[in-house]
Amino acid sequence: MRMNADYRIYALSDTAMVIDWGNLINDDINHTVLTLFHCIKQENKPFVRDVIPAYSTLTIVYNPVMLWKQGIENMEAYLRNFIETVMGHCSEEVMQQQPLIQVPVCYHPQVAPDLLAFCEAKNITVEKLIELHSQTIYRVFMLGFLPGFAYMGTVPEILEMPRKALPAQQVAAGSVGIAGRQTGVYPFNSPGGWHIIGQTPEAMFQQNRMQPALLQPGNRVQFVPIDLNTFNSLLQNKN
Amino acid sequence: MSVVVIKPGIADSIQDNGRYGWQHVGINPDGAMDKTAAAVANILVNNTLDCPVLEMSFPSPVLLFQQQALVAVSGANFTAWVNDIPVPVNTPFIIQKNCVLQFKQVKRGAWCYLSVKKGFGIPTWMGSYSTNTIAGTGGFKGRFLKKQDELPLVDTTDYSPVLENKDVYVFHVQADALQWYLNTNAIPAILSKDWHLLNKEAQKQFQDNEFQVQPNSNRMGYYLQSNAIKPDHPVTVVSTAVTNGTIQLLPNGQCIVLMSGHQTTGGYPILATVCSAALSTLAQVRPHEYVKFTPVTLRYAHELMQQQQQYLQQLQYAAIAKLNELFSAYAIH
Repeated sequence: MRMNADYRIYALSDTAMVIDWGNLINDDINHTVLTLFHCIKQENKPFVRDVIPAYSTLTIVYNPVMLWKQGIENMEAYLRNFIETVMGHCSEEVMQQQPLIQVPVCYHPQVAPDLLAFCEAKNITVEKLIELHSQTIYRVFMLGFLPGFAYMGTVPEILEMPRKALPAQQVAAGSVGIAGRQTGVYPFNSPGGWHIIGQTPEAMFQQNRMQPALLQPGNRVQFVPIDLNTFNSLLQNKN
Repeated sequence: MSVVVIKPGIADSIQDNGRYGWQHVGINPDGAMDKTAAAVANILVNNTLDCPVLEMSFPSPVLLFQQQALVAVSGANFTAWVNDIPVPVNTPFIIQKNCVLQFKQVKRGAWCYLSVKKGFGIPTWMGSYSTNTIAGTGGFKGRFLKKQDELPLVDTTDYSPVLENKDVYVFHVQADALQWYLNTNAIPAILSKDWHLLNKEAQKQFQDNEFQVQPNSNRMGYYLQSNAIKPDHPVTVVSTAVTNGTIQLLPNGQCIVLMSGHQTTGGYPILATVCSAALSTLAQVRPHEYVKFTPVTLRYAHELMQQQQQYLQQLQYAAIAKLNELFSAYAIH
């Protein structure tokens, strides 16, 4: 694996080790994080309880009891060695196999409360915003905040917008938002500080699916514009 | 036959050891706030440690048992009663059909666990019984209990030979669970990622501070109030994974320690993470009470955890032997 930056490994807790490439949001570094995420997942080690990618860190949650049972005394050294061994033989091919997931989005003020204000602030038409937002292919950098909430990037520079100073008390499930140069979809009704420019009828999180979360770390995502009628009929079919 | 909720408590939920393997899609592990107490409750009724238990805060629920059941309560002492008879914590007892279990006042602690022999008859979600209230799934209907909810019982043993016609039979055995609660004046924690953002003075202050647990604390986190801790420069950190026990520094100089209902990632500086073996102690600290943190090494944290595991294993062996002895005396299998 290409190590495009220095990293350090440290303990987050007595059950979690972190590989940290520095405190920044950067496509290349996140690509490295996600590559190692997939490689460690593929190892399928029973002592690994969770592998959690973030922008520039990968956190491995492990089960110390299982390692004691294997007679491992110096756990920290063992885990460092495990991580660096996987890094050594990890191939970036895992990232080339990432599926492209299309998510239908209705960009209409009736389902997107911040759409018109956003376009006004950016001095662009709604059509231009749709074009810019839906023609980019995004990468899922990480999930967090809510089950199934994917942080995606990178949004075209012209659409960059700091998150709201005062979060909205209620954002509807399916709302598509922009914050900074990231975009994301709220899987549940929730308070939220992102600017809502659209809404998807698709369930981003469904408890009874084999994979409850529609989007996985590393997936490529494209938003497909739909009109309000299509949105309403898709939503009806879902319920 | 079930346990019926006559009157709900403020935060009753089904929990277990937590749901792992899905944090990369934002599904938080949940699980019991005090996992030692949940384990002790299960051990006392001879369950495996992965059985679901009922976690209760105070006010606690009033529960009607539609059939006889072997149960135990562990963790906080909320003064349990079966009808008009007080029953102890950390002791298995058999409750008579159509009797009511309730909790009258807080003597100690914040979270109490009820185990029933063979667990509650509910399905797992993503490999765990724990309730995920954010996704609204797992546990019992993905939420806190409500009035008239019925938690199905699985065990159908006839305990009449032991109970005779009494409302409750209390076993003459008690687990010494209290030895596993550490001193709240020296909660061991591992220093972590952003500790170096504090200067020497602020680092000393963190170690000297008495942190008061705030009333708005919940399963997601305990808000702590102390002398404000300020880094030399304002800091912004990029979101990264957090875990149970992670102590984050909020922009106002106060700290929050994340508990078992924590989100998977967070964007505040991380100063330290409380040792796994001390999470039960921390969970049982009530609002308005104080804690202090003591930095320890990773090696020490692992030793503590290992000792706790050994204690639970010994307790399990002892409980199995004792229960078998009592049951065979009454010809119960």
